[in-house]
Amino acid sequence: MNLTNNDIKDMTQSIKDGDIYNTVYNCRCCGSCVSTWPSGHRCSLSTLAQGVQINCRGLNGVIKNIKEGKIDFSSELADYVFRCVSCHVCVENCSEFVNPVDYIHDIRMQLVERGLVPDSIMEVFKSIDQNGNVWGEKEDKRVDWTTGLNVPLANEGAEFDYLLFVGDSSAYVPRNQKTAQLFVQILNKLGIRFAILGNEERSSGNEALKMGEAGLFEDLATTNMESFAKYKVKKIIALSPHGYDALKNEYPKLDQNFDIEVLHYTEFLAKLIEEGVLTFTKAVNETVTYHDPCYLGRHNQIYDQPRAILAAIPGLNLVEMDHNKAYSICCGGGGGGIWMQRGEGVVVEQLRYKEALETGVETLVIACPICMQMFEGENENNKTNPIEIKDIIELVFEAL
Amino acid sequence: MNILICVKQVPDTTEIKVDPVTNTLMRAGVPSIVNPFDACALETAARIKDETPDTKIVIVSMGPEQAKVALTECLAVGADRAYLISGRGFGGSDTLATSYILSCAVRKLEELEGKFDIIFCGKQAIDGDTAQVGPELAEHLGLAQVTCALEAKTNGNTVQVRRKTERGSEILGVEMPCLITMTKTAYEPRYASSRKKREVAKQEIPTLDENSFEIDLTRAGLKGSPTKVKKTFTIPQNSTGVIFHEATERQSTISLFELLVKGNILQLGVRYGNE
Amino acid sequence: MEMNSSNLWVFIETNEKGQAHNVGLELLNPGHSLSRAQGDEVVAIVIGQHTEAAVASAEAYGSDRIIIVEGEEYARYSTDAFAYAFHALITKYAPTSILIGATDLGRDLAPRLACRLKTGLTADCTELDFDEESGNIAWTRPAFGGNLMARILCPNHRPQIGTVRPAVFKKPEQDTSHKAEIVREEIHFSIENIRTKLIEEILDADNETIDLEGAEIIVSGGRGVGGPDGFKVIQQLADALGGTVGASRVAVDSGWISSAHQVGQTGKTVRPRIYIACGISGAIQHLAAMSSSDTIIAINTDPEAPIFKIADYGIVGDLFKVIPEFIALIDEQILTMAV
Repeated sequence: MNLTNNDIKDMTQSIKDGDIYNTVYNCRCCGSCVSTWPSGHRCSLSTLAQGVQINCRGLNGVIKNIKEGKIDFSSELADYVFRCVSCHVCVENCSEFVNPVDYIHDIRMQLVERGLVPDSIMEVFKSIDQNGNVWGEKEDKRVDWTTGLNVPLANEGAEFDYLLFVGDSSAYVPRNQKTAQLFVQILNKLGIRFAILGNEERSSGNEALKMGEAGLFEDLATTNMESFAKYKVKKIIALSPHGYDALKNEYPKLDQNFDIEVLHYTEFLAKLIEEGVLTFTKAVNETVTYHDPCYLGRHNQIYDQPRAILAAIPGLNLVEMDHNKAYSICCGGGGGGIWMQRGEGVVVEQLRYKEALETGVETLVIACPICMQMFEGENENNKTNPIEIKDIIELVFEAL
Repeated sequence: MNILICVKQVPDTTEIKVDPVTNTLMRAGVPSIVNPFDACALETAARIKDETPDTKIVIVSMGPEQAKVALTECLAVGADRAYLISGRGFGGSDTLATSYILSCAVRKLEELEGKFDIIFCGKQAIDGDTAQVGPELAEHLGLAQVTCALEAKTNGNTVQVRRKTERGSEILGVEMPCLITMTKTAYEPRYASSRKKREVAKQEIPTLDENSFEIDLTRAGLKGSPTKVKKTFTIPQNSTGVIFHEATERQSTISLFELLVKGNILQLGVRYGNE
Repeated sequence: MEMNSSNLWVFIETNEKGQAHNVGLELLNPGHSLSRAQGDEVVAIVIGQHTEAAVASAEAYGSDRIIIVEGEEYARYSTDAFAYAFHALITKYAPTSILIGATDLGRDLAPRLACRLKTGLTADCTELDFDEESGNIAWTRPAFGGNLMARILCPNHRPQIGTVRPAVFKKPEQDTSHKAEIVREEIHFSIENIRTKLIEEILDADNETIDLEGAEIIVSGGRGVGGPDGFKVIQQLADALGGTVGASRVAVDSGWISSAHQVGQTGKTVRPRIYIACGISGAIQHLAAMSSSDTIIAINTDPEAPIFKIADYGIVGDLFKVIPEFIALIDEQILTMAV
C-alpha cells in the first residue's frame, strides 16, 4: 500500500499512545512464540526483510522501536500486518502474555478506518457489503446447495429446535456444499428438527472483523441477530469454526442479552454420540490424521469432541501429527489469510500439508470449510501424490 | 485550497453481461459504483489535502437522486461537501450539453463555496467511455486543461501534473485555476469503511436543479445535444470456430497445429521466431 | 459558418520527429469512402514545427489537399496552441466533417475543439458510414465497456466530428506518385500564452519496443497465466512465432506485466494476422479490442469461456501443457524444413 505522510504520522502516533501495544515490552525475545515449530520460523508473518527473518517476535521489536521514536510506521508495515492468519499460536506459547494478534488487529482496524486496505481484501469487503457473503456470489444463490434436499427454511414457518448456521463457505463453495448436503441428511436421518435462514443468512462477520472492518462486522451481526430474534432461535449449530467463533464470542459483545446456545457441529455430534442418539453401523477402515482448525482449537479449546467422534467410528484409526491440539499448525486461511499474499520463505499451509503427508495416512480429516479449501489448494499443487481430504461430516455419513 | 471533483455513478461494466438469447444488456443486479477514474481523482485530491491541510474538497455529481449513494461514499473517504445536480431538463444530455450544465452549476457552486483552484474529473466514465466531459467543461469555463493525469501535486500557485503519453509520461506545470482529468493512479483509491459511511450518512447533500442556477435550458437535455443516438445494438456472438477438446492437451495441440498449417495460417517453410 | 460547406478533414497527428502517426494515415481510408459518398474532397490537416515528413505521408496515402500550419509553438503538442490553430482553420474553411485519431492527443484536442464550435463529437468510433437517409455520417461506437454498440448522428451541427481508435482501419494503398494540393496557413499562437509548460519527459523503457497495434502476431495472457512467471511461457510462444506479448486487464491490474501490453477497452485495440488468447476468458472489454484480428486462437480450461464464441480455433485445456507442445511442433517443423 502507498501511505501518505499523514497516514504514517498518525499511525506512528497511535502506536506510541496505544496501551494495547505496551505488552511488547514484556517480550524477552525468548522465541517461545515460534519455538514449537519443527525448524526455522513458521509464523505466517515470516518474511525476509533486508536479509533478516521477521515474524511475530520480530514485530514486537518493530513496535517497540516505533514506541521509542526510533522508526516510523511505514507502507511496508501496513502490508505486513495483513499477513497474520490469526492462528494464535504465538499467544498460546508466550509466557509473558504478549499478544501480537490483538495489536495487529488494532492496527488493521485503524488502517481500514483510514481506507487503507490491500486490494484483495477490499474486494472481499465490497462483496460482503453488496452480497452479504465473502465469495462475490449473488445473495439469492445462497440456498442453491439445498436443491433436492429436505432443508426447512425458518421464514417458511418451519418448527425447529436448532438453527443451522451454514456460513458462506459451505453455502457457496462447491467442495464444502457437498459436506453441508451430507450434514443435513445426517440431521434428517436422526430426526433433528432444524431450519436454516436461507437467503436471509448473512456472512457471520468473522472474516470482516478479523481483517479489521469492525463496522461491517457490526452491520452483519446486527442483521443476523435480528433474524435470530425474528425466528425465536434458541440453539444454533454452526458448520464453520469461523462462524462459530463470531456467534459464540463476538455477537454477545454487541448485545448483552444475546442468549443463544451456539454449538460447532463437532460439539453437537459428539454430544449425540455420548447420549447414544448417534450410533454407527458401518466400519470405515481408514487410517487418518486430524487437523485442528485454529478457530476451533486454540480460539475455543475444542480439541476432544472431534477426536471423540473419530474414535466412535468403527474401523477408523487416528494417527496424530507431531503438532496437534494447542500446537497445531495453521492451514493459512484464517484472519483473511485465504485472500492474502504470503511472504518469502516457508509458507505455513505448505508446512502443515507436508506434515500431514509425512504421517503416511490415507486421509487428512478437517472440521472447517476454510481448512478444506486451503488443503485442497495444496493438493492442486501436488497432483502426483495428493492426500484425500475429508470433513468429519463425510466420515460420519459413511459410517451411518 | 479549494478543489472540486466531478464524479459519476456508473454501473460496474465489468459485471454487465449480454443475454445470449435476446442479445440485450442484462443490467439487473449490476452494482452501481463510483466511476473508478473519479475515485482516483478523489484520492489525488485527498493527497493534496494531506500536504496542504486547509484544503476543502467539494464533490459534484449530475444524475438521479440515487447518485447520492456515490456522493456519500466520497464523503466517507475524505470529501468535505457534496452536491447533486438533478433536473428534468437535464435528461438525455450528450457530452456537450452535460458539460454546459456542469459549467453553469460550477459557477453557482463557486458562489456557495468560493472559487475553485483545481477541478478534477475522471479521464472518462466507464459506461460512456467518451473522455469528453472534462475537456469540454474546461472549455466552457475557459480553464487550462491537462488530461490523462497519473499524478498531481501543488507547488505554490501551480500544479505539477504527470500525464500519460504514448511514449511514457511527461510532467507539465500549469497555473491554477485549471482542470485536470485523472486516469488510473499508481495508488489505490481509499476504501470507505462501514463506520465512516455511517458517520457521513447524516450529512446533508443539497440538490441543485434548473431553478437553482442560471442556465439556458435550450442548451441542455436532448434538445441541447448536437449528437443523437440513432440506435443501439449488441454484437451477436455465435461460435463458428473449431474447438479441440481431446483426451490430452498434446492430442488437441497436434490437431490444431495440423489444421493451422493446412489452412495456411501458419505457413510451412517459414522460419518463425527471433533467434 | 456556412452550413452547405463541403470537405472532409483528417487530422494528421505527428510525433516529436514530425512523422505522421499511423492513425491519421489510417483515417484517410474511411475519409475517402465517406467523402466520395458526399462528392467531397479529403483534406489532411498537419500542424507542427517541421511537417515535411508528415505531409509527404499524407500525400502518398491519398489526400486530395493538405493544409499545413507551421510554427515553433507547435513543436510539441499543447491544448491551447493546437485548439487555437485548428479552430482558426475550421472557422475559415468550414469543413463538413472532421476525423481525429483517438490517441491521448486526439482525445485531449477533439472535445476542446468541439466545445469551442458548439458541435457534436463522437468518441472512439469503430465503424463509420454514410447515412443516406439523413445525409450525415453515422458514427458507431462501443459503450458500456463494449457491451453495447451505439450508432450516432450529428444532424444539425457542422462540422460533425469523431475520433477513431488506432488500428480500427487499415491504411490506404500507398502511392508515392500521388500529388495533393498544398495550402499553407500562417496562424500563430504566442508561446507565452500556452498555459501548460513542459517540465520533464519520462520515456517508458519498454514502450518503444512494444508495438501491439502494428504486430502481425500477438500472444496474449490473462487470468489463467497465474502470475509473472506464467508470462515467461507466453513470451516463449511469442518468441517462437516472432510475435508480441499482449495481456488482459486482469493480468495488468494484478501487476504481472506492464500496462504497455494491455489489449482492451482501456488498453490498445489490435488487429493482428493471428491473435492467440491464452487463459483469457474473454471479457467483453477484451473482445471488443481484438475481435477484428484475422485469425483468433483461444486456449482455455473452461469450455464455456466467452472467448471460444469468437475464436476461429481453440483448445480446451491447460495453457501450460498446450504451449510447450505447440512450441515443440514449431521447432519440429523448422527442423523438418531444414533437412
